[in-house]
Amino acid sequence: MDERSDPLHGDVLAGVEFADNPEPRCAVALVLDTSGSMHGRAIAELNAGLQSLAAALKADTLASLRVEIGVLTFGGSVRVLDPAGGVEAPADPADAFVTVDRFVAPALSADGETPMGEAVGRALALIRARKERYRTNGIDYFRPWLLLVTDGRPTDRGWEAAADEARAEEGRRGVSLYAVGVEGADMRTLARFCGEDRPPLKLAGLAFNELFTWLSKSLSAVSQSRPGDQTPLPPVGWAVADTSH
Amino acid sequence: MLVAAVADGAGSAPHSARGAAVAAAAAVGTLLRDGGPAAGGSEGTRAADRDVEARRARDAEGLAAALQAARAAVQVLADAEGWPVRDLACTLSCAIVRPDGVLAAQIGDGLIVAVGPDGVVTAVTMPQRGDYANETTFLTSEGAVAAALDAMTRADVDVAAVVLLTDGLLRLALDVATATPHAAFFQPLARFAAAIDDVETATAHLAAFLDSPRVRARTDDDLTLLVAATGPAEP
Repeated sequence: MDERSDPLHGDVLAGVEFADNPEPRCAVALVLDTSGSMHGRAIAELNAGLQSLAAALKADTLASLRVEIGVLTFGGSVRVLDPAGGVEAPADPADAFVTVDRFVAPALSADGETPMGEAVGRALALIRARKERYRTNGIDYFRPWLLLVTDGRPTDRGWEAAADEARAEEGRRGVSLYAVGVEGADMRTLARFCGEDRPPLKLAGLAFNELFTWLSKSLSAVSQSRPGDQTPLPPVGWAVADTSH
Repeated sequence: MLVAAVADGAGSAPHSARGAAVAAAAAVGTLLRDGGPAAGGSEGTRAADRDVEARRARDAEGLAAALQAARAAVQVLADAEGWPVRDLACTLSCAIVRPDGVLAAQIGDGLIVAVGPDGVVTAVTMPQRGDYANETTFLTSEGAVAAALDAMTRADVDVAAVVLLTDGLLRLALDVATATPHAAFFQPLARFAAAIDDVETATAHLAAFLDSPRVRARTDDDLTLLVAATGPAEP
């Protein structure tokens, strides 16, 4: 038999079939301050930033199948939004995230106090429920992200416990928590929610668009990383030095 | 009877390709030099091999020596080049294959699968993952060799072919939800291995397969695939 043309080998390899596995997921919880002080330009810029985030991630084919977004707001009360754009909150906490291809950026309005502690606690619980869902369904996943944005300080009782819980969860690598303070934010209080390696950053002006562009690029990179990758994140172009303390 | 190893460099380690090459070569070289397979030829050794337990113990010692040699070889290269050893981080999957079973040790997220004469597919090792999809352990990680030797696995099955692969092919070759090898991936590879009569031609076919559009559409990672048939069982 002429080995160089060897039809048998080629045919055999053409018969190799592939497993059909779900894409690995990277959940990100957006925990957003919609208290009264965000009213006006701040909330408008935040909404525009969310639109940019959705557009950028949808344009990335792989990220659109791997990144999952959940949205919680704290303004007066804590609300878990339907990330697919519906008006009802998801009945099952594990349904609070959708892949980017189904994500609809919300149009937020601002009013009320700042129950930030409760919001962070709820977000951590949603992330845990989502991880459990992944495990039940045999879906690989990356370390989830939590992006906390505020222009104030928590007004709810017991926020300290939620801050401790967030810091502990970051410490055991259960979540990557990024906290962003908008002008007027109490950065020292915000730091209590953060791991030592990832202190809160202060947003330059109302550069929400830059913040969410950075977030989309970071999530694209993380969601396509492979074992051993250190996944360098794009440079932060939206923060300023915090001189408040 | 055969020995086999595959290694995959860590994406973040600048010299991991050389680490992987050195590790795999050191592991296989050690097994060929003092492991069971080199002793498989002579009549006297074959008689000794009737003592299955003794043979298995020797294989286990050989595999331990192979992993230690791989770790040492990576260290030697790091020292010679003045690099931190973590710059050579790689995975390593290593197996001693006999017609009646496979003994394997593994660091990281490779996969070793045995295919029986009847087509039955058995995972000898499964990829070691951290909590998250982009985490695993490497040959250069603290305590990795000792942990791998503690977790050495043996599959006592009739072996027609063995397949070793690195993480780039995992999502094609494993059913993640059930954590089992995808039989329809491995069975044709076993038939392919059994039909090999020229290694260069077969290697070219495998390379073409890995570079084919239907594989490339599913993974953009670097890919390592080793297939081998055990040949007819000894009389």
